[in-house]
Amino acid sequence: MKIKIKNLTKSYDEEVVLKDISLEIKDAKVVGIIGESGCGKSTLLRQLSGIEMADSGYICVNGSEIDESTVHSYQSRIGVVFQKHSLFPHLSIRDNILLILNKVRGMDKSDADILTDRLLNDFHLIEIANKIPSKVSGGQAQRASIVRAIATDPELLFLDEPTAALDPLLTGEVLDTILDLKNKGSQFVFVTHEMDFLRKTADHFIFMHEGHIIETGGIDILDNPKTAMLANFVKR
Amino acid sequence: MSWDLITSSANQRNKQKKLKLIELSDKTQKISAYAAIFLMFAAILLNATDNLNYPLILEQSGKLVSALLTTLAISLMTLLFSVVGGFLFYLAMKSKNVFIRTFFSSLGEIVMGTPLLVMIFLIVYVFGIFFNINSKFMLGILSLTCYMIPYVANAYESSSAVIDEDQYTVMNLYNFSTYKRYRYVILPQMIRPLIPAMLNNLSSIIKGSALLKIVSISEISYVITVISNKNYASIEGYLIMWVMYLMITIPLSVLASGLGKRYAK
Repeated sequence: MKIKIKNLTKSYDEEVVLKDISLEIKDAKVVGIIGESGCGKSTLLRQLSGIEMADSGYICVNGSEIDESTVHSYQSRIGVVFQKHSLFPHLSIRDNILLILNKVRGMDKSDADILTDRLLNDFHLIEIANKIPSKVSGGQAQRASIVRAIATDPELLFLDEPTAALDPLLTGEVLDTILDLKNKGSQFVFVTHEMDFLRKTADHFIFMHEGHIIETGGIDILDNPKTAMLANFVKR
Repeated sequence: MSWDLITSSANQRNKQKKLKLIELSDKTQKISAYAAIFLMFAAILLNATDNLNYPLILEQSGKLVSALLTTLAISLMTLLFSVVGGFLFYLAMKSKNVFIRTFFSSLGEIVMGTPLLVMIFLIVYVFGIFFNINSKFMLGILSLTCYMIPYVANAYESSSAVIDEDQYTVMNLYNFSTYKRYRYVILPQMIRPLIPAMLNNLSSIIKGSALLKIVSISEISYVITVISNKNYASIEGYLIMWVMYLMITIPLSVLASGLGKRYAK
């Protein structure tokens, strides 16, 4: 993936969360955004996925500049997984995926059925396919939301702390699913506090602190941090 | 069996006995409360005044049944129209267009601040005459519908609170059209909390329909007033009217409360 950001600023009310950020990633498969809570990681991911529009600045992902006029076509090529599973609570796991494929994206019903069942099988969710989200575990629901995000075959996936709302016992199964995605060749941008996991999966890291990008680069920035802030963060 | 086990099972039995006693006591109290209400109600009906003569009214049972059916027809049609109109009104109140949103929100405030009696007069004698509509029945339904629409829109608004922000984010992300948002995500989730609210609205419509007598629509209130005036039996007439409205509204209220409890689970 290629990401280019120039002078990006984002505020909520009076609080500036992203402060004149610039960044260029020329070629990466998995990008990990790390930093303390409240440093602006999720906000950056929301700008990169077009969920929110920046106050000022320029974002270009894989050659697509993201602004009000291009965001819908850009979002049709990406997938997003949120902290909470965000499945529609009144629909079964299967129908959550079918709704997107068949009713929203207009895929033929029988093709959508076949694809949904194949994905649910691949990710070991077929047994809970007919259950509504509240009747499955948090880990299963989050895995189902990952399946929903990849069902549309996105060129890029954004994962916003997908294990943050899970207890440690359920975290593992979601991380395994994400590792599975990587092994299948998916490209994604990943916000997480799971440093050990990120070291294994990401090939590019962005370290943020108080709305600024402090360091960015390959795994070597974690092994040989240039700043005391990243060194302290990595030690934890 | 050890002494501890025997004591523990005896304790459990005691607890169960206590719970059963509490349950029985609650049931007894409930039945007593219903009986007290019934006796109070009967006392009022039988002792409201000297020489009560209910047969004077009840002899006209054919007219009473017809009036009851008219009230039900008006109320159900009003509910149907206000469910549709209320939804459109709710959409207008949520519109991104500031003019539309402000216009309909203000209109809602005005209607909700208007007494039903005034609304009926406005619709029948201003709107009806202006548009040359002569059917009192239709104008009656129209006045009740206009009156109910903002309340129904508010019921939609409260029901929509069940849909959290994340679901809207997902719908935005996948670029759901407005139709698909409502058809597949919002309305299916709104229906559950909406049903009890709609039953309560129906109950309000039925009670409100009594005011249609001022424009001579042959619903319960009008028919009973006519019969009781002819027979000089106003008190009997009002008491029978009371019973007839309760016969419709109490089952609705019980149903709304039951559905509310069921859907709250």
